[in-house]
Amino acid sequence: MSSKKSTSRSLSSLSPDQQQRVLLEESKKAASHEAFYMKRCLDSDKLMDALKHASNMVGQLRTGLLSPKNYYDLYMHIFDHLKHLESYLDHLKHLEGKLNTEKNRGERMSKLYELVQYAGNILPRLYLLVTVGAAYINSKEAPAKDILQDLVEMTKGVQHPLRGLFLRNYLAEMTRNKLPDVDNQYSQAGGGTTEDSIDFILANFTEMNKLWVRMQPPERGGVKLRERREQERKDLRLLVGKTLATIGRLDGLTETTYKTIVFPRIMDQIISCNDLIAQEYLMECVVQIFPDEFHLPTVSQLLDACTKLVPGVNIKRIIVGLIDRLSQFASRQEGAINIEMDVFAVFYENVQALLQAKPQMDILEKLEMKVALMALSLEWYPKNLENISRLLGFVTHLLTEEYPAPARVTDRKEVTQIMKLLSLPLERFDPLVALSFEHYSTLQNFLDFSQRSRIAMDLLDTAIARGTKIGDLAQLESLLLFVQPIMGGPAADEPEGDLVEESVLRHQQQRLSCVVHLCSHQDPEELLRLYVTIARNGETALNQDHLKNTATIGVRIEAIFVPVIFRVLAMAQAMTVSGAPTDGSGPSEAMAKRGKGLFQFVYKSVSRVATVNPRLGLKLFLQAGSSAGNCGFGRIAADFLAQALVLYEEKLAEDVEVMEALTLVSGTLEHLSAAIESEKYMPLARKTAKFSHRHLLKKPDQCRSILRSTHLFDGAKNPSANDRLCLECLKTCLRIADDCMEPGMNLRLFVEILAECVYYYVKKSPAVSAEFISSLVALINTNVGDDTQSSDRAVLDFYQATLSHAKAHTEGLDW
Amino acid sequence: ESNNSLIVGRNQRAEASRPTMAFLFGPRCEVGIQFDKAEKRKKVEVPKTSSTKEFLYLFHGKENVKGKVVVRPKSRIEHKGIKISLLGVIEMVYDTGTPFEFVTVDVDLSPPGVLETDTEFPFDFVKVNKKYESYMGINVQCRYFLRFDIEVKNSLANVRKELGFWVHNYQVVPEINSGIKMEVGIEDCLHIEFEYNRSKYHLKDVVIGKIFFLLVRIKIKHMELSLIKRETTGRGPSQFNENETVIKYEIMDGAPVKGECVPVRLFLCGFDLTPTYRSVQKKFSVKYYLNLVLVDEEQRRYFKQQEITLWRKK
Repeated sequence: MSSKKSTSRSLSSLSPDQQQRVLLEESKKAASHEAFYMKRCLDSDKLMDALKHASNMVGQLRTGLLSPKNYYDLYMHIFDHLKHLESYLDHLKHLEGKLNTEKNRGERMSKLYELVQYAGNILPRLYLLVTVGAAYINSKEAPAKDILQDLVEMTKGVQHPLRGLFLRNYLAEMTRNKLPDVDNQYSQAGGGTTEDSIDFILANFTEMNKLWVRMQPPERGGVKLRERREQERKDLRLLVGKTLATIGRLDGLTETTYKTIVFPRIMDQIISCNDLIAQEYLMECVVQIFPDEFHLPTVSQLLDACTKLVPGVNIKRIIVGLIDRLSQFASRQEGAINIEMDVFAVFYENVQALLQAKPQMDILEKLEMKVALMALSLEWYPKNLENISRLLGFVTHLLTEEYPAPARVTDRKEVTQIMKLLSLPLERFDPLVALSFEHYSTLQNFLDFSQRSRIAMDLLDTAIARGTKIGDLAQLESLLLFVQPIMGGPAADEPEGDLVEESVLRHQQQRLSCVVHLCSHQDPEELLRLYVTIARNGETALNQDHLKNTATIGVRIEAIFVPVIFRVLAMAQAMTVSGAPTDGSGPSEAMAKRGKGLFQFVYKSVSRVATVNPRLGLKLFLQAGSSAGNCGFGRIAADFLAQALVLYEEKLAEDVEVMEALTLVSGTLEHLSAAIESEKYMPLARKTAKFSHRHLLKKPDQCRSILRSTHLFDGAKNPSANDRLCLECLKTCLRIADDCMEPGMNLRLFVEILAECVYYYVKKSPAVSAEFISSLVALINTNVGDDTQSSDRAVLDFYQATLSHAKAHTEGLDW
Repeated sequence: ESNNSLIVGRNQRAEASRPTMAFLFGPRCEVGIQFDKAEKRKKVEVPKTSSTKEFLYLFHGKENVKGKVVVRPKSRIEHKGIKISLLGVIEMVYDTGTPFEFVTVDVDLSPPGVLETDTEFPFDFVKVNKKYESYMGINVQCRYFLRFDIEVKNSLANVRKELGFWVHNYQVVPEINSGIKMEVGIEDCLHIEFEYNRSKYHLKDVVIGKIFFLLVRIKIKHMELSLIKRETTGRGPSQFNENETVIKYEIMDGAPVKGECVPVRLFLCGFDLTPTYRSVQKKFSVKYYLNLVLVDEEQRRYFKQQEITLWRKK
């Protein structure tokens, strides 16, 4: 007594949390104390005394001082101890069976059941009644259903929300595994049916919920207190939900029972409790704990119930949860789902009705529901386009009202939902199908640049991954419109937002360029039209003022034009191969006209590339020229080459890689020497040779470049070529090589020139005489003699190899 | 406690008188009164003093009281006659006057003569209607006993031996036994309707009932059902009422809301109860009341008493 007094006196000086701790510790200690004696009595079979101690122990739960969390702690502590009593009582049955006659045994449990009801205090009385009741069911000395019914009725005596909730939780826990169900031991011999168990659980659940709802925070008191109470209440929701979940675990729960008994009763309770927290939580429970099959027949009712909930309940979350569940259900099913009803229609109509009924619902919630609906339709009716179209139409309508153009959606959550609406169809359908929805592209316009780019990339990736075939102009145009953000960057009136990283940009453009390869059509004319469309769109996109002068323009232009150029060149090639006349008389008139058309287009495109990347332009001109030549369009080829040289002269002469450019030019020109008429050819060849001399700074480069140009004048290849010019070039090379001051280099160049001369001589070109070679060999020999030490081994080897080659292929040459 | 001690006080007075007589005149003989087949008869535990108890044989009201008296004279006793009486008396604790004898049956066992050897006197009280049950209350007692008397010649001290026994009367199942249903309340504050399944309960019965809450505007902390035993003695201005709560049983914890219904189940069997006695010889009554008590958070008590009849079932 005195110790208690001192505790209570000292309590007031503690903080509320500390007080709680002290109170909890004291209660636990007292409970442990009683538990000890209870167990001792049980060990010596003094059941009556044990019950007395048990009752005292449970008496600790009568406290009204502990917070819900601490009360739970205490409850668990006592719960553990009560397990001893439970197992003793279960064991008692067997013990009695051995010791006493059948009759006595039957009386024993019912007597005990009566006996515990003499306790004067209701809470310990009911805890013991439940404990004994559970053992009573276990003994099967009375029908389980009767005992359950009695227990759930008697527990009504505890109306205190917290204490009642825990008592009923105890009831649920103790009977969880003792409920009559199909073909289980508790249903036998009139023990009860699944329906009886359902009745019991529903009754308990209803009462629990009523108690839980009653734990309203006080009307007065600070906001903080209210919040804390609310949180405490939320913490307890699991107790209610757990009880409800027990129904879902009954084997005997059928669809019919669910629809006719369980569902209506639960809904009744949810709706009538009029409490926001409870309604939100329990609706979610219902959606989650019952099998998908059960939801199908009750979808309408469930959605209807949603309209009857108190204002403020997050209906959207409930519905989305349900839709998601059913979507997953459909995705788990193999093959078609054998259900008559049109699940989508049911949802769609109910959701529409709900939106009508709840106009205050915000746009985000509406969007989220539509997203869920879309997922549902895609899972259940993967081939149905009408549903998706309807949804997109509706959403567009919604957004147009909310964000009249040119407003864009900025709320990140809303944006996420719009993105989902756009990307979900891509998961199921070909991008072209997605684009065919009337409002698909419209929806994109509500997004800002970066999001538009993202979805455009999604679309591109999907198209590439699926190998989508674009064969229709309208399709292509809608696709190009959709990928406009990638193609043309942000619109003029909006900021670019985050800087696009170079690697990202390159990646995007690379994907964009793939569109060209997706185009396919049997008719080359049509195909060309597609390519032209791409180029034209690209041109238009890139001609926007704000884009013209940015650093990214080069990458963008290349992405659009380069693939187009190559495809068209390939078309030209293919045309020549298939349509060339067998007599070798060159292209027919019709083909010539078409070919010209193709190359004109190429010419224009390459010119466009050349404006931003002359080096690439040069290469493309050469490539185009080469193709034209191969296809028999010599004049066109010459034009291309001329254009390449113009480009070289204007843009590349100052470039550090002139050498490479010149090599390419001369290579291509040489390659085409036969295809181009001589009056066009010679100026080109001369120009190339001249450039080699003038534009290169290093002697070895000059030398080698001119050496290469000699081939341009090789009369064996082109009748119009002038062998004299070839010799001139060779002499120029020798002069430059001789001027070369770099040690060892002149020797190397001499050998290279020699190799070239031998080549001409072996070919019996009039350009090179035997004397010329002999004197060159003599010159080299002198040089080798001067400089054996420092001479490069490789050079000497090359020299020897050249000599032996010459010897093998020539006769009567005096070395 | 204090009431108990009063009863004891009276007993002590009775006890004290006999040894004194014995001391003056010395015991002349040993007397024992035995009931037939006593070993098979049920006994009732009755408090004798504050700390001791005695066990009395139990008879039913219409049962014959049969047995024998064994007398072992220590010396020769010349007597004027031997008799045995069955008495039923009602004694008031505060009334020091002679007890009211409502049953007196004398039976002569022997004409005047001499007792020299051990002698047995069989007796058999047939058809003595022991209408009232034995009862030991706070202010009143109803008791039965046998009194054996030897009127000794030439002596002031007669031989007297008394033996109490206990009487129960079984009652027939009541023909009319409707439930009790009643709506009570405090205006705009609390309205409840309670319902007990019967108005008459036997002593091993169970009170089953329900409390409906029709209106709750006070903060109820708990509700209990108690059984009050009211013993009424005397009449008119000298009437005494003793109320004793024999059962106190919590039936609800916490505050209910409108529409709640709380079950009542009270097993009477475990408590020491008597049947209802109504105006026993116009001397006393014992009545029982179910008292429904609601306690609010300020410890205010709201209650409603309802009489129930208790009866003894065979």
